[in-house]
Order: sequence, then structure tokens, then C-alpha cells
Amino acid sequence: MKKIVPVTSLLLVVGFSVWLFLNDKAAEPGALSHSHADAHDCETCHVPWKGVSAEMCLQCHEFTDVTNLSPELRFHETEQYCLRCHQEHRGATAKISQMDHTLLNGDLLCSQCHLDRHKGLFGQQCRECHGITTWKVQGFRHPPEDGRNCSRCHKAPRSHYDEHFWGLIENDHFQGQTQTKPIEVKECWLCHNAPPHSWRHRKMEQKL
Amino acid sequence: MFNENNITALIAVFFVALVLGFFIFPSQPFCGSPAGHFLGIAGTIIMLLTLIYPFRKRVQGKKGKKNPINTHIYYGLIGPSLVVVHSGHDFSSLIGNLTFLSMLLVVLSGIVGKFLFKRVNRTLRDEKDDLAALKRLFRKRKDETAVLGCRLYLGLENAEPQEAAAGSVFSFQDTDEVAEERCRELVDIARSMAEREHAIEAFTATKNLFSRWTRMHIYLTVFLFAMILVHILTTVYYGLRWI
Repeated sequence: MKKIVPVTSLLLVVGFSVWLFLNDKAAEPGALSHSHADAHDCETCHVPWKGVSAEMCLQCHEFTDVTNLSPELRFHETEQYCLRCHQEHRGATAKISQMDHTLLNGDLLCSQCHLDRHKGLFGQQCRECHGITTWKVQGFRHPPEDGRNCSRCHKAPRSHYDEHFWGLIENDHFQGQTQTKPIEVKECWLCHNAPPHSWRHRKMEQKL
Repeated sequence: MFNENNITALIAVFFVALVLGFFIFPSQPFCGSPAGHFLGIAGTIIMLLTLIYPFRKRVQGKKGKKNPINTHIYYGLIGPSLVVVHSGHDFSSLIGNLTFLSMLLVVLSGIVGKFLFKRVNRTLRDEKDDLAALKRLFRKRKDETAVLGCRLYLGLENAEPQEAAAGSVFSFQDTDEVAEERCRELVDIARSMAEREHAIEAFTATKNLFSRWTRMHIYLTVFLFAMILVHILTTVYYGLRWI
């Protein structure tokens, strides 16, 4: 009689535990995204005692012919690590893709997927400044001092297009020097220093 | 500074802080990560170590100093603290929630049991010691004084005349100031004893309530370990994310 309560309680706990284990919904760690909401049951993606693998994903998602895909998705042809970037059960509206750039082929150009905010001014070698794990640049790095492409990024002020101002520059700062060809506004380096030195008119003998 | 009570209190505060952090820093993917799983496994192993105490107490019959409860308390606080971090502050699956909730109840029932039961037990022991001392004093005074005579003399009870006649060693004529003083002292001691007995009754009732509390702690623990088992089995069944 005395053991009825503990024995009954134990049986209830065991029964409840078995029911929980057999109930798919009890183990669900979060709702599936809209894209996978029509999955019939857990075994659609999960192999019992093994889990989810890329093979399971590829039963529905095919990447053998990527020519029909948009350029930013074509790298999927060679990449088969679905779970590294895509994770489910984060809610119906959650974004299930989280890009891991370390998995990508080194030959891929960033501009194939990313819009170049520099409009081509900095070239195609994005990784010279940008990292793979973070897009954030660690401080601004100016091109070398002997660079000749200032006008790629810098625009001359309006004053430099003024004939009177330009005449002063030519007369005052190149006095006594023979000019074989007229100086162009984009030839900034003739008068200006480049970083790490100051942008001031250090190369000029006197200031205007 | 770091005596046993302080350490226990510090760990309790740490655990409560983690529970509060649960609502402030939600991080869903952490529990399935390698670090998250490591914390969960470590926490579970430490929680399993808490079973050493009841095993020694109930199976081996070791009680008191042979089986100190402190290690049980440390394991019972450190293990769940790791599990709280493992949970990644995320309420998602039913099994996960039940496991976490039962763990919380087991720990809280343990903390309440530790602090309140200890206090009740100590007070009960003190009261019993006082009662024993009072009883000894009462017996001593009783031998020195005629109780039945006192009852009649003080007019405290409805003493029957034949009782007084049978047990009395002094009569109304024999009373003096010393006898009166002794009689009053005897009554005071008897009153104190009654008060102590009343307090002991109350504390014993509370202690019995706490024995039920302990039983509840045990039932909750059984439920917790059942939930942990189901949680582990489902996690392995549906696949560990880090393998």
C-alpha cells in the first residue's frame, strides 16, 4: 500500500517520457521556415539516429546544372555543405541562410554576388581590403604615395577649373620652368602629396 | 570569508543571475553548437554526481558527517548553472522546456529545503534540549515539594480532597513563605515546559511538512532525469548538428 504512490508516479513518468519521445512535435526546436513548411514529418529531412545531411537536401534541391541560376547562386554547383550556411527551425519568417565565405572557391570574384559600391574605382581585388569573415575594413588604407590614379576617387575643386586660378598656378608655381605640355587638372601629384604625407601643396615653392 | 555557507550562497546567486540572463540574452543556435553541447554534457554529468548523496544515504545507510550534504548542494548548483548556459537562453521545444523547468524546480526546492529545513531542524533541537533541562529541574523541585499540597495551596486546580490527603506532606497549617515560593517556582517551570512542548509540536509538524517537501524534491528529481534522458535520446535521434 505504501509503495502505490511511488510506483504509480514512476509508471506515469515512464509513460509520459515514452509519449514525449514518440511525439515529433515535442522535440521540435522551433517552427520551420515558410520554404519548408510543407515537410510531411521530421524524417523528410532527418535520418533517424544520423540527422540531416547534404544528401537529404539534394533530394529536393538540385545543383547539377547551374546555368539557369542567377550568378550569385552558381557557386552551389561545387559547394555541398548545405548545413554550414542553411539552418532551419528558426521560426516561420526567419532567414535560414547565413553565408560562410570561408567555404567558397578562391577563384570566385566578389563582384559576382556583391554590388560594387566603389563603382569599379578600387578594382576587383576586394580581399586586399575586405576580410572573408567580416566585410568591415580595418581602417582606411590609401594607395601608395607614387600612385597616379588620384582622379579615380578624388574630384578637383571647382576652383581648379577656373582659368584665372589656373593661370596663377602656372605662372607662379612653374616660373622659369619650361612646360612641354599643358598641365592637366587630373595630374594632382604634380602639386599635391599623397598620404601618409599631407595633401597640402608641399611640392609648391609658395602658396597661392 | 569563503566558508561553506558563503560559497553556497554565492553559487545560488550565480544561478539566479543566470536565470535572469535567460530572459535578457536569447541566443537560439548556441545550444546545438559544439560549445553548447559540451556545457550540456558537463552539466548533466555534474548533476548525475548529486545522486551520490542519496545513494550513500538511502542504500548504504550513511548519515550525518559520514555523508555530508554540501557536495550534493555544490553539484546541484554548478551542474544546472552550466545547463542554463547550454540552453542558450532559448525556450523552443517542449522537451527542452520541460527539462529546464523541472531542473529549475529541483534546484529551487533544494535551495528552500537547504535553508529552511536546516533552520527548523536547529530550532527543534534547541527546544528539545530546553525541555529536557526543564524536565530535570521540575523533577528535582518536585522531589523537594509536595505537589498535591501545592495544588490545594495555590488553588490552581480542582484537586480532589482524597488526592490531597494521600500525597500531601504538608498541610495548610504547615505552609510558610518558603513552601509558597517553591510551589510558585514549580508552577512556573511547568508553564515553561508546556510552552516548549507546544513549540516542539509546531516545529515537529513543520518538520513533517518538510519531509513531504523532501519527497517532492525526490519526485521532481526522478522527473528531471527522465526528461534529461528523453532530451538526450531525441537530440541523438534527430541528429547532432556538430557531427
